[in-house]
Amino acid sequence: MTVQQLIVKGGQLLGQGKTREALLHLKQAEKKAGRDEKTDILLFEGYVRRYGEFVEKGMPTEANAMQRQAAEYFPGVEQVGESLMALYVGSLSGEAAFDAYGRYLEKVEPSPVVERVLADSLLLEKRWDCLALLGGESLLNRDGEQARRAVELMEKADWESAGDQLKSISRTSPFAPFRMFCRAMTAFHAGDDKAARRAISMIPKDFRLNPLLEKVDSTLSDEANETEKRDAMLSVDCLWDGPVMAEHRARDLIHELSKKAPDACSSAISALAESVFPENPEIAAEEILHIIWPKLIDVGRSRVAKLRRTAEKVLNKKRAELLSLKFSYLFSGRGLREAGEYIKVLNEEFPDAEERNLAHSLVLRQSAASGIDRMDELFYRGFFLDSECGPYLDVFGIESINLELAPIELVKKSIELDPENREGYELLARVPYSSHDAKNAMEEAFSSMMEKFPEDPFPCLELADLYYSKNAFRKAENVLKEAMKRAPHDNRVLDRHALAFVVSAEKNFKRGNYHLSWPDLEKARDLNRPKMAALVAAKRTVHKVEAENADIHRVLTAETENFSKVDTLRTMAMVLTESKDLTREGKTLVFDNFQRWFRKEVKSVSKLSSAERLALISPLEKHHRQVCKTNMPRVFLEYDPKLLKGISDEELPYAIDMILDSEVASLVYKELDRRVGKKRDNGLLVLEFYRAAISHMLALSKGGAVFRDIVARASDAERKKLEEAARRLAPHAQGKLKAALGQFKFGSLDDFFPFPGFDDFDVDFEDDDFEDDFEDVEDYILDMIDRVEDIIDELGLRRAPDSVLKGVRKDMMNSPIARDHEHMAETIRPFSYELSHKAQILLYGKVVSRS
Amino acid sequence: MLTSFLTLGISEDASDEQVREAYLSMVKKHPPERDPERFQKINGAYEAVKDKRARVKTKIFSSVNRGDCEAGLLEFANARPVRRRRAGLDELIEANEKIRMSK
Repeated sequence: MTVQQLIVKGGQLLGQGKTREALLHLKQAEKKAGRDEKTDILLFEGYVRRYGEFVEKGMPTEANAMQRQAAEYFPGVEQVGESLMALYVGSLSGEAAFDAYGRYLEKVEPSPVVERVLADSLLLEKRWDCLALLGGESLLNRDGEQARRAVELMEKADWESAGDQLKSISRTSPFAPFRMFCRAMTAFHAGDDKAARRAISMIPKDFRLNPLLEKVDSTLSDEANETEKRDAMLSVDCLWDGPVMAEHRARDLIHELSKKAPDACSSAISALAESVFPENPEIAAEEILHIIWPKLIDVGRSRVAKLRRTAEKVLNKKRAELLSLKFSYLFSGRGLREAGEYIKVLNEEFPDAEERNLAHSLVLRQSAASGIDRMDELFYRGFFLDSECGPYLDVFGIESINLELAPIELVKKSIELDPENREGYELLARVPYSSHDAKNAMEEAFSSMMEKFPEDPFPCLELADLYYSKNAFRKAENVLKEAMKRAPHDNRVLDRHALAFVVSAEKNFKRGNYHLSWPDLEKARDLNRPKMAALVAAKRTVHKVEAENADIHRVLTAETENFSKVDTLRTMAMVLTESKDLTREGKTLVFDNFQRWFRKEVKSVSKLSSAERLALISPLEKHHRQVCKTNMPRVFLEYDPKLLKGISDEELPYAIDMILDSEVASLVYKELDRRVGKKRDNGLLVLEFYRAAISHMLALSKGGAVFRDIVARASDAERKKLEEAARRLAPHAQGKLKAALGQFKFGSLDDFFPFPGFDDFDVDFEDDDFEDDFEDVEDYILDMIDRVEDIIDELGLRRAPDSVLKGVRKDMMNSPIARDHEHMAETIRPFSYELSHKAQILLYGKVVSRS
Repeated sequence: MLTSFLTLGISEDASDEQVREAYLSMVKKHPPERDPERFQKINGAYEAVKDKRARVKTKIFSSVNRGDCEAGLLEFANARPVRRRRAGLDELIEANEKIRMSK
């Protein structure tokens, strides 16, 4: 190409926006023919435009190089058009820009376009001194002082005053966009999104802060979706306080947690804490630890230690210590020893005395509740047998080491610390008691509740039960009267009132005082309590048959005249049980005839619906059992073993839950086996699971394989149903099965792992991880050994003579934990060489191997 | 427990009365028929800190009663309402520069 062609092509390419190619052509022309005015102008324009491109691309070094080249080819102000001059001035910083424009002004009229660029550079660089380089005729100088004051206010974020400052400048002023900018920010802070968006729309697109304003506009736009808004807010996070960054940081933490590397989480915790609550990040970090702790410590024995390590990185040592004690307590299932440890540091967590007492009371109550549910477990009972309890007696309020009294004292202490604590009294009502001392303790507690809650019939009803159990009938009647006064329309009170008449009648009936018992039965009937109807009718029938030699058939028919079929049959079942004890003449014949009649009537069960059958076989209410011993499920299933057949598959599990403790397990098993058979029908998975559990209870099978097989076949939804079934079945089970069902882990049922508690180990012998599992088990047994050694230390038996240890062992073997103790001893036996001499004596009564 | 206080927009040492006032004002702003999800959160937060007894219970047992850890973290992160913050010109210039560079 000729020089001329190169220049023409370069100019065309510039016009097309192909700056790089244009510069190549123009430089080639310059190389061929040397510099000339025309080429210089084009090269100047090319470099200025290229500068802008590099700035856009965020390449400052390259941009600066272009700017230097442009300066070299600057052709003189009179030859540079307004727009090119604006571009050029924009490429220069501070003084150089003003100097160039100053020279431009000497030859040309003031340019609004160039001055707009310079106004923006004043906003960004604040070189107000450079205004002196321009003549008085420049537009910038005219409004410069006002703009300077406004910018100072903008720096202080006082957008309202800055806007006021700019009110008087004209729309043609180079500073006019500043005014709209201030108006937009003022409206933004006032929450007037519409006005803010309108102001933003009136700001020219070449305003230097336009990228920011576009983002602000997106955050306010109704058209933008949530993600776009959130992204825009993140770009202008300086304009927002609150969870803009927090959610981001929370997700970072979730990611760290998913990697199961708790140590790496601490910085993510701190970042999130700082972002959500910069006023006190430590409190926020503590809150985060509360949220994540189950996730943070979901593996292994060192779980609390792991949490503690993380806590120590984000909290001070004292708070970290406190938190790990709290989590130990929570993680232990509110265990007693851990509760004791935690209570001892409550003064740090609750400096306010009232709150501290509430907390102390609450921890005691929760631990007692958890313990009462686990009364048959080794460690709970072990605790009260003084293996662990000693150091905490004072915080628990326990005065006597007595298995029956200790839980009562524990709850009483909780009530003493928080006397308005109604749940405490309700919990007390759940504590099993039988000894004289325990009854006295309960009497004291409920009497005090009667005073504390003068309108509540609950303590009266509990006291009535207690008095009946002590045969203090008059006292019982008096508190029931009090209950009637307090809540005359309460169904519980009316039911118990009717029951009280039956109890009183029963007492006199047994003594042969029929003239006294009948009026009570009349009163009981007159109270017309639906729940009591069958019981009262049965008692009245037996009374008439025994006291008046009445015909059993006639009396019962009259008594049950308006009864449903279910109530009639239940009345008959009660009469059947009681008529065994008749003393009247011809009692055997009466019983035999009645039994025949009952057998005939039971056949009509086939007409009952599934729900009616459920009602028929439901056990007697707890309170009714003090006056009637009929085992409803057993009576009906003995007389009609097919009765369960008519209960639907869906209702059968609930029927079983209800009756399983009524000595009917084998009948239930047969029915389940009939329904499930050898089918592997997923529609019957829950029933299959019930069959497996009851088969275990009856010792018909063992091992966890059958459970694992059922669980493996279950879908997610079915698995949930199985988990619920296991939870319902656990209370009916004992030992390892109870633990396995409770935790829905069945590895512990395999003979290989005889110790209850190996629930984390569902071992597959084909599995590559088997060796690891074995090591875990070994670890676990070694832990048990440590535990035994700890008990010896805690009981102060380390230096005790062997005879004392043998005495302690003898006490343990005579206590309710004997079976567990033996079980533990046998589990540890293969590792007995790891036990100390004293521990071997405690476990086996003699030294079994040399360590 | 902090989550509950932040949800109600009050400080941890707020009195029972302040807690109640904050609750009522939040419910007014987010009535159940208009914003059921938020209302539920506000209600939960109020129940957790409404009086000393509730606060003690929450402080000790909140971590046990909390459900999913991830949901808990997000709830905590979003408990504090997003507020507009006054930023000065220099902060805006810096943000503008970052946006420009990120393009």
